[in-house]
Amino acid sequence: MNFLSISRGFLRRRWVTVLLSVLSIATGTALVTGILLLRDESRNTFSQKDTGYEIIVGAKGSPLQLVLNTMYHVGAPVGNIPLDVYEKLARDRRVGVMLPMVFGDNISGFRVVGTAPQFFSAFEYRKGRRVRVETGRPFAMDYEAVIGSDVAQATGLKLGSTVLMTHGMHEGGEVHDFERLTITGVLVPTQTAIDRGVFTTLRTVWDAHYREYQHQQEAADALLAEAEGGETTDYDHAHGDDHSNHVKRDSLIPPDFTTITAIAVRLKSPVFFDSFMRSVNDRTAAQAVLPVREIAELFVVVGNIHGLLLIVSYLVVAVGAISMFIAMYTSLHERRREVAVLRALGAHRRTILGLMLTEAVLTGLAGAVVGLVVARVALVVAEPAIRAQTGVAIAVTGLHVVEVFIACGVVLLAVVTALLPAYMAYRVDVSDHLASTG
Amino acid sequence: MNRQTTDTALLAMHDVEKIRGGRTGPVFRIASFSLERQASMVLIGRSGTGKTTFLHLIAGLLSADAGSITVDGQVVSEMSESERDTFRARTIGCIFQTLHLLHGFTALENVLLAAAFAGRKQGSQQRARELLVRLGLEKKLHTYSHKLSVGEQQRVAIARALLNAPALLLADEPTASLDDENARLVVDELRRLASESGASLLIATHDPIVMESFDCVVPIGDVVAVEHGRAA
Repeated sequence: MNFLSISRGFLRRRWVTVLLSVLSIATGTALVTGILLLRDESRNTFSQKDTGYEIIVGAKGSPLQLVLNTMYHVGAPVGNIPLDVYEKLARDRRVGVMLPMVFGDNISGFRVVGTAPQFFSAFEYRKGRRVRVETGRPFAMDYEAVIGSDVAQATGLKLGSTVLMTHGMHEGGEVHDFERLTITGVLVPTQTAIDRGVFTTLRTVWDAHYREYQHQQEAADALLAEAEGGETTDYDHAHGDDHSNHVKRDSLIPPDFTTITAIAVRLKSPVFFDSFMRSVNDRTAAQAVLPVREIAELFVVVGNIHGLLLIVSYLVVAVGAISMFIAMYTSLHERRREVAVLRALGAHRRTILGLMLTEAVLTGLAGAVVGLVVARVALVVAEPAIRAQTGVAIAVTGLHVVEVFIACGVVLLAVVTALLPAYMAYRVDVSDHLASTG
Repeated sequence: MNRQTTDTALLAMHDVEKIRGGRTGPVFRIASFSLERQASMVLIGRSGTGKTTFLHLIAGLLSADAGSITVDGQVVSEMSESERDTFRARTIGCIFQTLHLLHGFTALENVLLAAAFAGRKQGSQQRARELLVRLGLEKKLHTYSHKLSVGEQQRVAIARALLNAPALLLADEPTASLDDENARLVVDELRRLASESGASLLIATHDPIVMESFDCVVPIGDVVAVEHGRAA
């Protein structure tokens, strides 16, 4: 019999209360671990210092919305900018690489991005890393597209597949049912929003919207004619559409189909940053933003929310520790008899103290390990959904340094919690607690 | 400090005084008492006459306020509490009135606990098994203590007290929880095993069955004087 086996025997004796303490501590540990891992991983994802999106140019409005929408496909676009802004910047000698992007459609909820050939030839999504096609080839003409790895996995689309685009950023919009996209390639995973995108030519998106606009105009004309002459056109019969949402021609706002949603810019030198930003912001209809700065500001806000969540999680851990304290404290009456027996067998007071603290360490450690495992399993299970929704890729392989700190912290807390009961056990009067009648 | 004495008796007590329960509590006085090596003695008396206090003083569970207590040549009354713990683990086996086995531990583990604090782990597993087998518990080695009958539990307690081959075996009302048949069995085992291991045996009891089994029966009043009702 050694310290551990004796402690194990005592824990076995009170396995129900010990189990409850372990579960309580594990719940708090899992929450803290989950929140901290998510925070770290989201920081890694969103604040990549080596991002290839050095500057983003887009419509005036919320800079953060422009960044989130362009880089992470989160939220709605701020708006569009005229093509001439792009053409003007293309002539700017300070600019090294430019990548125009136009959004507006989706396939199964995955964003369709109209872009230019430099998406493959010059654009770096991270410094030194270019978009590569894993299978197939890049798009070469209108209505050809390449898809990100997540899109391929989620939709089952593969080389040669054809698919219709849906208007808007989410599923359920109006389907552009006049021409299908043909998939020509699947991209190598990048662990960025590119994995969740469908990439085609600018003209494909423009054309789709223009044709959709024409289609709506024709439908509106047909409805007007019907209202004026009481006759329906062959068009409606042919399409079988319900155009009740487009009864007034005036309500249709024709999109300017040669606009750009955003331009990713890399300058030839950082010395041009200030002058470039000023010239875009002051002299064009667009704004230029620095993603790194916007994300840093975002994390000031997000950090506060994380802080609140962490406080709640710490409180849950504290409740676990308190439940362990209550369990140990309320068992002291029984423990006094056990302590007296051990002392009668020759155990020193400090041995009793050590045994009590060993129990606390074992309980805390069990709670920490169970909590870490639960957090891991939960993150593994939730990872695909989190990545699909936010683009945050959670690396759940290997032991994270945060987890080591949490485990140590929980064990330390358990020891601190056990100090008072352990001291009371240490002070037990042996003779009084060995039943005596003599 | 040299705590060894030249006493030939295994246990010797001189002018021992113990005040219990604070300044107003009773005072226990032992003028002189000795127990020879390998001897057996039964102390008899009613409850509250100082039997348990007397045994706890010898075991070092209580410290004497005055006088000297010598066990196996060592002056226990001059030892620190920690030294008394170690000495007790190695030299004295204790059997209590209410069994005091630890639940959550098997019969074998309960016995092995005694070795854990005596620092004599070598061979203790084998000896613990042998003792339990000799006490008829070969099928109960791995049974949790709370699942044993009262008689079985008392036999486990005897095995635990004997594990470290103590020079002195103290038993406080060892038959209090047992029926007559089990009481006789336990007393017989206790006497036999103490004799075989060469231990002196000191039993405090008021059970006639125990008294009948030993030649040397001493009223506790002849050994311990209790003074009650001291002024504050």
